Amino acid sequence: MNSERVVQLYIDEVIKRLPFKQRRDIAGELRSLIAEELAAKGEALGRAPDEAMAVDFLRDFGRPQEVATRYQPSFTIIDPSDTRDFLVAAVIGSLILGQTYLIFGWLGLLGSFFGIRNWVRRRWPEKSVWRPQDPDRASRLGSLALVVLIIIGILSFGAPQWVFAQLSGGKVLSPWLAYTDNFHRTRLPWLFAVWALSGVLRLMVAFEGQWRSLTRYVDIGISALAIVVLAWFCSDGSLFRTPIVDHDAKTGIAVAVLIVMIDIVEKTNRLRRLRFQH
Amino acid sequence: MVNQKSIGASEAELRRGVLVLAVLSQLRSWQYGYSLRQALVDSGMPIEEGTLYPLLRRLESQGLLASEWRIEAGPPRRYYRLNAQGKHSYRELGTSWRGLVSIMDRILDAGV
Repeated sequence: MNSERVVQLYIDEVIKRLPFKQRRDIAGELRSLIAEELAAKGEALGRAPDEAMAVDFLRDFGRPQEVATRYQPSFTIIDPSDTRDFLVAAVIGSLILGQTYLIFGWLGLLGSFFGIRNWVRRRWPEKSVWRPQDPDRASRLGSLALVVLIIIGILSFGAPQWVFAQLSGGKVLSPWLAYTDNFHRTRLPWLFAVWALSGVLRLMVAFEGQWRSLTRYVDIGISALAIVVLAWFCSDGSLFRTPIVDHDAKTGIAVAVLIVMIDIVEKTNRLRRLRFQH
Repeated sequence: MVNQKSIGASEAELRRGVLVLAVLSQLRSWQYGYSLRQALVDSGMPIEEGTLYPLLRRLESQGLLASEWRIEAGPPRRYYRLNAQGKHSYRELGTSWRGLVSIMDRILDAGV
């Protein structure tokens, strides 16, 4: 292979990573500049440029990917300042979901979340500026919205046939989505109990408009209880009569457990920080 | 060894910071990539080819440089020169640089 061919292969590698409208122009410029640099190098070495000389020179010039990046403004999908958070969430997710196909969904979800957050920060930097926030202050509206969500959740999971009939004008929900009797009678009520506890706590917080140490501890306790109940759901027989629905529901519960665990770690760290400050 | 490496990295960072100003300073007259690099080398500011050539395009896309293709004795070459906006930016950056040098001189003299 002669030096011109090596240079052309290199330029092809660079320009295929550039916008179409710039390719021809940059290729022409690179070809002429690299030819001059190589000629000068050959002159200094006292021989005509050959393949080895061209390869050496182009290695110093930089990997085609790097050179292409230098030609245009670079951007990152995950902001370097978010890398640690991303890795922690990805590793915890891998530990829990590593044996199932859901791990790909989890990693995709994380990538999308951090990517969108990074894009929003770049697009509206003025909205991302740091503002001091009282860590004990609770959003009354947010707490009440959560209570409403809990009530909707209890209704939807407790009487799915009734909710579906109300929303669809009297249609009947597919029997595929029917609970097993054992789950419906003995286990599901425990989830409602946990949700009800959480609803009462949120009402108290909404009433006071702030978090206290006690309410924070109770909140963490309720989350831990939720994990115990959800783990029990998965380990003590079927939830749904249809096996495939049962399998999917259990993997969904595994994701929920993961999210609650991350939430507990976050809340515990926050509590520790607040105690340290006081 | 590690210390030497970190000094080298810091020095490279310092040089990167002044690269744009050094390049603009050489473009008050028409230059093409290779001749510009030689001019910078001769002035004691060597710069890698893979860094300089993309930088010229970026400065052009930022509206600081004018460029044109010329076919003379050798192969076709793309020439660059400061445009009006580029001259203005060059003056501004030059003033900032001199101010910075004077501040750093004071700081360094006080630290000796």
